[in-house]
Amino acid sequence: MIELKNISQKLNDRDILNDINLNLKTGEVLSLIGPSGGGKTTLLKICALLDAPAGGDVVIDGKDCVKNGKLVVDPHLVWPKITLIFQHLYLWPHLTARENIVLPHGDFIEQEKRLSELSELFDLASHMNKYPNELSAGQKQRVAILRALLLNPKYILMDEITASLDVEQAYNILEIVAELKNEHVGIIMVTHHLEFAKCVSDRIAFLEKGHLVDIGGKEMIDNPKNERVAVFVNKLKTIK
Amino acid sequence: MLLNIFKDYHGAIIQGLGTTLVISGCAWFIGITGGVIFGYFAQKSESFSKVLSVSSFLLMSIPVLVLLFWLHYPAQAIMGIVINPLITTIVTLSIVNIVLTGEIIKKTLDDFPFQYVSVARVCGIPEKKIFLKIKLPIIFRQVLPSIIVLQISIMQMSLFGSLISVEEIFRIAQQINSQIYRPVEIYTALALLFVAVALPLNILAHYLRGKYTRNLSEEKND
Repeated sequence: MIELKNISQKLNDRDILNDINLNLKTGEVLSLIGPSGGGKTTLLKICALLDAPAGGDVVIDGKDCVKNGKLVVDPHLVWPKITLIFQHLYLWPHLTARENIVLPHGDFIEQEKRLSELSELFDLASHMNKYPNELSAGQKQRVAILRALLLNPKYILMDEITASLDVEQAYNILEIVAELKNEHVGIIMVTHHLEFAKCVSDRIAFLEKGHLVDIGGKEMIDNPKNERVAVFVNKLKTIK
Repeated sequence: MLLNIFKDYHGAIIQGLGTTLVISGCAWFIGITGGVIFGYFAQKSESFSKVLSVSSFLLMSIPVLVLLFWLHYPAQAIMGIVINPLITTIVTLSIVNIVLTGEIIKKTLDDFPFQYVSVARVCGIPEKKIFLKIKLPIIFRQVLPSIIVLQISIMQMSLFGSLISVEEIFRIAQQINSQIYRPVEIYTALALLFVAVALPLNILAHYLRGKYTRNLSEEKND
């Protein structure tokens, strides 16, 4: 389980996160929704131990990783048990799609069969020897997802991963997320895609201006109890 | 006539060309090695960064020829020493090369997208492998075109050595011209020699660009 206790973060004396308490069990999907600048990505980075918070604790599988805003564990021991798919992907530009996926595994990849299956599912098989600048935004997104999946993480943090995907590819991701849930992988997902969040999430948290405004089940999308969440959800639905 | 010049003065020309290549080769080696180290530390340390900025500003302001003359005349007079002009030329060009290479390296390191490293970390890649397989190749590809252009400029600057009596190819051309007074043919021959030396460098640059510096941007849309 990942436990975030009283997490706060500041940037240039401005509060980015305020006293956030969240947890994620293995096999659970938690979606983070809310307006831009609400602190969702910052929270994911703290969760992934890429950034230390200004205050609070991060406990992963019972082990203190951040204590009072200080990293108390070598994060290399935690990665890639926890991995993060960035919104902007950051595929290494000098490596092909295949090399991007294989590099974390050394010279060869043990899960060659799974790589083939997933590359077929993600419609990437014929693009594996292309460089990132030769791939479309959607293809790059799928490469980044594939790279993360083959790391066999226990927890995956996903930042807007459906942003550049078409409906069919988003559906494929739904299936993958469901499969990961069955494999007891814990997932925190930042998304503006409410239907997607509703389909896959066990819980949904609404973050705004660094505050955890509301947290609840997937009914939050259809029947939000919090007034602010209702306004936000209705606006998103109107746009869709 | 051109061929006659090459035929009659081939010994002097080869010697002059050799001197030009020695100056360039030394300035390249010292400049690139020193520049990489200087640029690296300038990116890490504020004081190194200030030294690099001031040096770079001075070199932008002072023409290379003035620096060469200053190191050849007043500097040696102040220190009471006499240094072979060839060494003075190499030192001058090496200083220029160190500072300009250092600037290129520092700027590339400053601009390096740290997110590539963050992604590698959450993929569980060890720091050494991140440096060797991700940081170094990306930085190498980014600095390569600028470094090659700079080295060709350094070679061209080597002819300033002729003005402090270094027997490099330009001075040899001037000496031949003073004997036979055929400026058109002689300076055409000189131009051809520079092209002949620069050509392999340009081919190498082109090859390396093609091999290593593909478009690293991620600009392709659906």
